[in-house]
Amino acid sequence: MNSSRDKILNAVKEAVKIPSRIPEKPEGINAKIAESLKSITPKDYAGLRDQFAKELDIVSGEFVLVKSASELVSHLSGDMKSKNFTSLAVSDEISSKNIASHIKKELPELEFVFPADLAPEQKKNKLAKTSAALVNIDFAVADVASLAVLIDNTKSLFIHYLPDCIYVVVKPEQILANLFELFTKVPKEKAKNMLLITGPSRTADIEKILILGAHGPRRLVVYWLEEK
Amino acid sequence: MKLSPLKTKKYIHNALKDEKLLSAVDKATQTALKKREDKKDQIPYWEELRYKAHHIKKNVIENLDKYLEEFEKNCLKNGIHLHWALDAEEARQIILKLLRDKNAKTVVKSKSLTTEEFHLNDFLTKNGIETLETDLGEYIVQLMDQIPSHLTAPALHLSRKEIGGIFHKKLGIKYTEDPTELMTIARNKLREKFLTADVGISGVNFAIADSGAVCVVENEANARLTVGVPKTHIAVMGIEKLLPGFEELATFLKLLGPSATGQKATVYVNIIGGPLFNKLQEGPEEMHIVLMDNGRSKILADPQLRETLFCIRCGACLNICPIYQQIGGHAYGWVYMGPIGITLIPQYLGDKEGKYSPFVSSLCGACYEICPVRINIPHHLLKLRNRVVDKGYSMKVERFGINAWAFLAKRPLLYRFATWFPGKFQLLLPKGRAFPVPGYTRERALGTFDLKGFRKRFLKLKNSDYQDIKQKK
Amino acid sequence: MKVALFIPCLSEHLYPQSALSMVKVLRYIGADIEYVDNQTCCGQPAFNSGYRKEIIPIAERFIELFKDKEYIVSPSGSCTAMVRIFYKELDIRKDLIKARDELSNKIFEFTEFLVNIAGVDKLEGQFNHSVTIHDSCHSLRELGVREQPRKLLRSVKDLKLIEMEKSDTCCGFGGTFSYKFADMSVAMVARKCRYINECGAEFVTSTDSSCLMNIDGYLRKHKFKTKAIHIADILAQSLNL
Ligand code: SF4
Repeated sequence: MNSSRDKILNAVKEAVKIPSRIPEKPEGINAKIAESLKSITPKDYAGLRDQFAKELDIVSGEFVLVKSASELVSHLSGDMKSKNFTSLAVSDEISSKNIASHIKKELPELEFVFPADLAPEQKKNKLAKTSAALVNIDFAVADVASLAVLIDNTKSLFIHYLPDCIYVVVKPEQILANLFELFTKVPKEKAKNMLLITGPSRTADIEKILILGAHGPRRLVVYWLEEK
Repeated sequence: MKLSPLKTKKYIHNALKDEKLLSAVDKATQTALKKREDKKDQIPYWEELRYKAHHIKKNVIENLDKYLEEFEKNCLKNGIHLHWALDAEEARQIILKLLRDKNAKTVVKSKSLTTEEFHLNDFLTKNGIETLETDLGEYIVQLMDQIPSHLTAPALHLSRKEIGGIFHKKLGIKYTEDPTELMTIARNKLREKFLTADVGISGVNFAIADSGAVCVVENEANARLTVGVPKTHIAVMGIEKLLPGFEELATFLKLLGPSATGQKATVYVNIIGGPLFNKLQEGPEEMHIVLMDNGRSKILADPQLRETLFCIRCGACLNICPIYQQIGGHAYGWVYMGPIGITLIPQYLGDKEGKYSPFVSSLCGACYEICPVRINIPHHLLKLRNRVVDKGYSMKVERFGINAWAFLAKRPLLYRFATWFPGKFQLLLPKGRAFPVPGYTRERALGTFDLKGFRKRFLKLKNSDYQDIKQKK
Repeated sequence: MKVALFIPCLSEHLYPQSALSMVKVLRYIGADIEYVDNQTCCGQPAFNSGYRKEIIPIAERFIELFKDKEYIVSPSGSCTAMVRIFYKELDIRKDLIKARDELSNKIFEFTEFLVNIAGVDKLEGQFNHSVTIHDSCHSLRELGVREQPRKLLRSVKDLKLIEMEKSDTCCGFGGTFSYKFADMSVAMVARKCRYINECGAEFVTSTDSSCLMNIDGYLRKHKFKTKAIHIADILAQSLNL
């Protein structure tokens, strides 16, 4: 037996026997929160989407509303071209691979990187040198513009933070109102390995001056794909 | 840089003369406060949320044994190795042993105040292991050979000139004071390290008991790289960091962003419940958690002061503190600073070494008003002051004075007589001058004693004019 | 309405005029005033310095002196907070606990009493000056007094109420803090006085004599034009009492 463990637990057990002298919370707090949340939450899908777009803009993310996959492809290709990107990492989902195959037609020179094809050691080095990534997420949280990635299968996580520019495809059904909803909706077995991303990485450690692109991505572009 | 809370008075004195420091700290704290205010205002249920968070923490702390056991069970299920460390020394040894077992040469570290408690960086460096802080602010203070001066903004006391200077000196690069260039330099240096380091050591913001997971919150992606790239991840946490489940986490995430940096949400929230290499073919093959007590169970044993264990290290109380705003973090002499720091210093280091700390406060209570988990800091400071006094660490003269005064205050006649004295004594001074109180009167005039005092005046008034005072019709 | 006066040490010896002003205003609104003779100090300075055992007899004395009173009113927010809030932290005699808890519901800071208990929302005085208000920390954060003094001042004719920047930032007094960490305390009051000066008011007022002593001391020493004045004095003067 680990004796420190027992010592700590015993000390804690002894300590908690002493009743606290700490004030209780007032009545009705949870109800008030629920009510207030309801009053500030947009009523319909369009409201939530617009809220997400607005909040994303505040955190320096880019929001692009597209009405079809082909519109997405042409916008994304154009963007990559204008930035002179030479490589694109593609997440493991079929839908990303489909989009990638269309981008390939637009940008034949572009190098495509598929994480699943890389050996473990190679993977991090390769992805760290890739210009951009095309990724999927599981949920988009409207009131804070957070993207939730559940790490529950074999899809790469590196791809979300090693490349410099991240293109995210979001679908309408992925929208949630707020964090409370997210954590109620996602079962704890899944929530326990999760990444929430809100805008590109940043720092303000030097004189509180905001710099985008700290150790992670400098850009985060959300393609909001509204197919009929 | 070795600091001691016993020298706090001297540090404060020096800090107050440091114009550069003042303007850096003032600017940074005001910016943070303004941003907080703005984000907070967009959450109309903010006050209710504070109550809720306080309540959640209260429940956790009062049942900490159960939550620890539950957490342990779930961590084991997730394949996480759990290590219990009674004190700083044990925590150091556990980590060193893990690193030796892995044959680690380079360690990348993301921000962890808990590891500052036991000077992990120095210790590992002395043992021949290259240890790099990766948060930009932490990286800067590490280059400066300092400790963080703020809970969430470690280099807040430094100007870009100073930062440029140290980069130039320590990294051998051309001098620049452009923040973006400085960030890029750090990024390139550290990218390399992230990709080659053997072990990543992180702190923990919250630990989820019912799932055996830890949550690490950050903006720079340095924590993401620390916990996600090297083959081994070691998370270091105090035993008080637990939350029951994810629903509670949502409450704390809502409060933390605005309070800490004035963001609605931090850029990355990393929730990690075990090593994922087998699933992802990337990242850690092993995950360890060091659960450290180091005095926390002792704090827990106090029915009132245990509230200080609710702290989520957001730094809001530092920003709002009219003392911190003018002196920064180092003047407190330890790794925790500001209002919460001065409650923690005597509790962690003992009332003797911390005997001055709880007095570095005017008890204004702004910290309590802003604290997202409603820690009543001024009340705890009063209790801690009492502990210092009862243990006999207050000044002899003061004790004597207070006892003499208490003797008199129970005896109104004597009291009246004694308090009549200063007024008389004052007559000996040049007209209109009050007699000096050491320190106090150097920059401030003292009020003049009224020779009659209220009592006499009132009793006199009562007989004559009192009845004449106009009454409202 | 029977009001017993609680006159803290600073008011007794340094600012009796302000306490008298308070008496006049209370009298003006029709209160029956009683001075409890033999009152001394509430024990706050010692308590704030960490001496608890030492002040238990003083607190007990205070409770016994005042326990039968209907209302107790004081010109100082911090001394009121001492009795209302912090007496509960003391291990006093068991037989006095009930009286202490009742006392905490009967003791009031002056403006708090006027507005919340006496129901005064208007005083028809006149005061042809500009005034800014410093929120005393203990009034504000222990007693929740923020609006009351403002409400009263706004009701005074010709009085121009100017809000200074950060009216709720501490003036740096803090009792024994002001000489234990004198240079820190001075730095704080210096900043406070800068805000006061910048707002351009002729007077700075507050609900606590100790803050005012500190602020006034700095203003006078550094020859600022603004004058410190207790809110009771403004109200009494405005009513020509
Ligand atoms: S005491 Fe409260 S305000 Fe201060 S750092 Fe801790 S949680 Fe934040």
